[in-house]
Amino acid sequence: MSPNGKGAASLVYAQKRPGRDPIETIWALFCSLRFAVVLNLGLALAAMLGTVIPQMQPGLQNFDTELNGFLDQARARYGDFTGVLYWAGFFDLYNSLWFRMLVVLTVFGIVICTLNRWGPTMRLIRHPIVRVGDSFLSGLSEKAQFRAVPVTATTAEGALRSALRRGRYRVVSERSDDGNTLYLYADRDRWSKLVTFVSHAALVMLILSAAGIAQFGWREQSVYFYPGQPVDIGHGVNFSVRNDKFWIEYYPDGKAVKEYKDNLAVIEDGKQVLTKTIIVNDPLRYKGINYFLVSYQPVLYAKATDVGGQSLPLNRMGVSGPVTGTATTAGTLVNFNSTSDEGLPEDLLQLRLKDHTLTLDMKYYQDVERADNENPPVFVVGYLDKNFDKPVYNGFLPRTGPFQLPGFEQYKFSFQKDTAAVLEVAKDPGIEVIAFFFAIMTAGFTLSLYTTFTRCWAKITPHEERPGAVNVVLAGLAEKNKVTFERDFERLATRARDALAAAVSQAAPEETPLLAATGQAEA
Amino acid sequence: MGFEPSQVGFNEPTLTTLTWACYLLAFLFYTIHLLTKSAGTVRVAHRQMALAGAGMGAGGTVEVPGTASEGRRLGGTYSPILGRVASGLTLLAWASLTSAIGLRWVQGGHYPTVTLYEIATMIVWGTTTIYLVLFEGVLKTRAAGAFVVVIVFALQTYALLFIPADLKRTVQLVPALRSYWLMIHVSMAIISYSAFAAAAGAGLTFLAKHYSRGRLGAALPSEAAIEEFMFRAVTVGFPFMTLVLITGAIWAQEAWTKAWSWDPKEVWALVTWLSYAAYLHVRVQRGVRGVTMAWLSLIGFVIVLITYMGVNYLVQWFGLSSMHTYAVDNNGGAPPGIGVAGLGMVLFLVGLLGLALFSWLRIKFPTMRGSRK
Ligand code: HEM
Repeated sequence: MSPNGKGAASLVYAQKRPGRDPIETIWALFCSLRFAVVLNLGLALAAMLGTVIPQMQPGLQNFDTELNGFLDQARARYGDFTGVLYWAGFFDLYNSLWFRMLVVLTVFGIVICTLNRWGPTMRLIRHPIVRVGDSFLSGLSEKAQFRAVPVTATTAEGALRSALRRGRYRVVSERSDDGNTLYLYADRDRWSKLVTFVSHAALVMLILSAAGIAQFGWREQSVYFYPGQPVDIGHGVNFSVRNDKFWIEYYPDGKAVKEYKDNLAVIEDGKQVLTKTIIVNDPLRYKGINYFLVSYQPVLYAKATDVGGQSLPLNRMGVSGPVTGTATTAGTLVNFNSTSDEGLPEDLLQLRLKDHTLTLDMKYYQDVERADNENPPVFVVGYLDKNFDKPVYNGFLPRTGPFQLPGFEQYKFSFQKDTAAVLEVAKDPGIEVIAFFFAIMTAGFTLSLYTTFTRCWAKITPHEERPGAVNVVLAGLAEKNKVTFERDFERLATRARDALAAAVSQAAPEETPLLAATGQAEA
Repeated sequence: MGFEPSQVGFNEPTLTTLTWACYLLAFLFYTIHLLTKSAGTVRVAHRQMALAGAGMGAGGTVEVPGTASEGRRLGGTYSPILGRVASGLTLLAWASLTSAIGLRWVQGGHYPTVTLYEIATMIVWGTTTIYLVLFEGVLKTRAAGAFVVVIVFALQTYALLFIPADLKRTVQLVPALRSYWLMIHVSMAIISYSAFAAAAGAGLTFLAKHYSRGRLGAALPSEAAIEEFMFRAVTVGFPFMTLVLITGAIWAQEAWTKAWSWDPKEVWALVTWLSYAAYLHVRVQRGVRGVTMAWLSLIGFVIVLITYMGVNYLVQWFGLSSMHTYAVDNNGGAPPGIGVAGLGMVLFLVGLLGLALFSWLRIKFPTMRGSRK
């Protein structure tokens, strides 16, 4: 309520008083402005803290080496406090228990406070106080007075009613107990009081559904889709997705990346049911599962042949199994899925011969430029058998032509470049539900900001001396947009004046109404 | 300003420099316009209308409140010419900036709201638009002109002088930004930031009224009226800020795979939203009026500035990771020249708060004024 409407506040709102009862005390606490402010500030401060303290990647806790790496970095910054900060969840602040508690308390606050307003608001709307006291009337910010208007109270009421109705007010009237005084109450945009409830309920539902729905989804963060190999993501998903081709489009300058594109095919029951080219801003959605393009990874298909051109079995190191048959017609996939000490994509290939094993340690130098028809920028260290301390080769692949190891020229290695797409696969159920509540909330906030619950009261009393004449007081109160309401009320008062004047001239038709506004400024 | 005489023509440097000069002049004219207002403030509270006509009889009177429009309230003694010149200059600045933005749009090939410089320019443009439409158009007041324009002028100075030249180039959109959501999401942000900037301008106007007992105070409209200008600007900004959060979440769900990931920019947008929600609750629910509201709107605007520019610096200073640094970092690598731009932001914030503090000191320590009286 505004300071001007203090009278109205005490009159119209029945305040709940905090009692001894603990529930009442808690209830009152949640309804207090101070508590709301503390909560709001706490939430805001906590959120801000998370933007000045480096946060762990989600799920980092489950990887010991990564976690220790993170903590070492933090120790450089926070020293001995690191342990405490970690324990108190400051490095995973938004998932910490205490942050969640703050959110829960806020939700409680909104719910309780809103419920607390429900009764008084409904009373305000459904049982407005019509017969108000003089001190209340004189306390209102907008007032108009008409004195000694020579009509009956009923006629004056009719005139006021018509003026109010033209201003979109609904009107209620009552007589004083002695029947001499007539009171009018009028209000407009009552429903805007209720919009507030709807929008706050939507806010609560938004938070609750976001928290609840998160429990039902899942997310696989870096899934490698190698060209031509369907990926079965698990989680009970009964279709697989194949990456057919990944490519990059550049701006005309040939350097800046314009778009990453990836052709995906959905395979269900052995049949290809859908193909789609996904880009960063347009994932594949199929049966509620989302396939997002997040990155890419250069890969090679490697082949080895002997002098006669006979192809030889080539394996990725660490991949066990039969020595033959691991190569597809395209060659053995080298996907560089480990990382070297220098942080480069690395992979190890082995050519297992009858009496020897040749091992190639391959590192991909992505920054080194090579033309499309040249061999990729891969640095190779070649070893013979288990002599890992004595490399037999140390250098980049030749720019063109097959690669041979010195002393083993009879074996030729050739490489075919390709690219794997790195996708994030996730199921986020109920995004639509969240969007729905968000939309309701926004619409509600906007409506309640642009509509104003407006009330007017009028009191019609017999004139003190002149029989057959009445005094009229019209006063109004808007909860916000006061300056606009001033203009609005002026229009209302002018209408009331005109309506009264018309009533007067009807009551005494022989006389000409002369109600020209001879306005004069009062200094 | 990286601008040489030989470059004069219908191009961005000329247009933005012209805009800058127009804001400076407009600020001067708005101020003079306020200060030259004749001293006697006549407040027309009520017009008494004699109902001397037949039928009402002698002694019948009607009292109808006077109109709220400021001119009549205050006796209409502002110099109309000065005010119109100030508005004209603001309009000229707006038109020239509109052309500059249009040129950039056409030449860059995409909606120019990616870099720090472009967004600053857009906020300058948006604040001017909201000021002209809402304050001068709908609310019919020039009272906040000087104060809104000073904010706008500071922001444009920041954009022109403090952002290093290599951050002013148009950039090519990285794949993540190539979406129609760029236009929707960033436009929402610009509208809401601009409305909050206008509200901060009204906040400054309020403080000037509240703390100045001199000529300036007398020339400004009533506190209640200024406060309502401020509130109206916030009511424009708040729904759009809500939309910023929604459209951001929808876009993130597509481009970043997750609607909400507690990215520093997201967090600060949320804090901005909460702080204006606090403003609205304090006002609507508790009926708080007056100087508290002016301070709240200024604090809110400082938070807006952190959300808009500060996050880029926070990320640097505190070694965080954020996906939201397109403004300074478009082709990988460290953002260049952040030191100078950071200094610019700090100066701007300090200037804004200093201005408010100065007006507060003037009342707390009246000797500062008394000696000149
Ligand atoms: C502790 C939590 C909250 C409580 C107790 C609360 C309570 C209220 C109440 C009682 C009103 C109605 C004012 C009236 O019409 O008389 C209101 C209005 C409003 N609330 Fe909240 N609210 C809370 C949280 C929020 C939040 C988090 C937001 C959004 C960020 C929000 C946005 C709004 C808006 C936009 C209005 C409309 C203002 C108007 O009527 O002009 N509320 N709130």
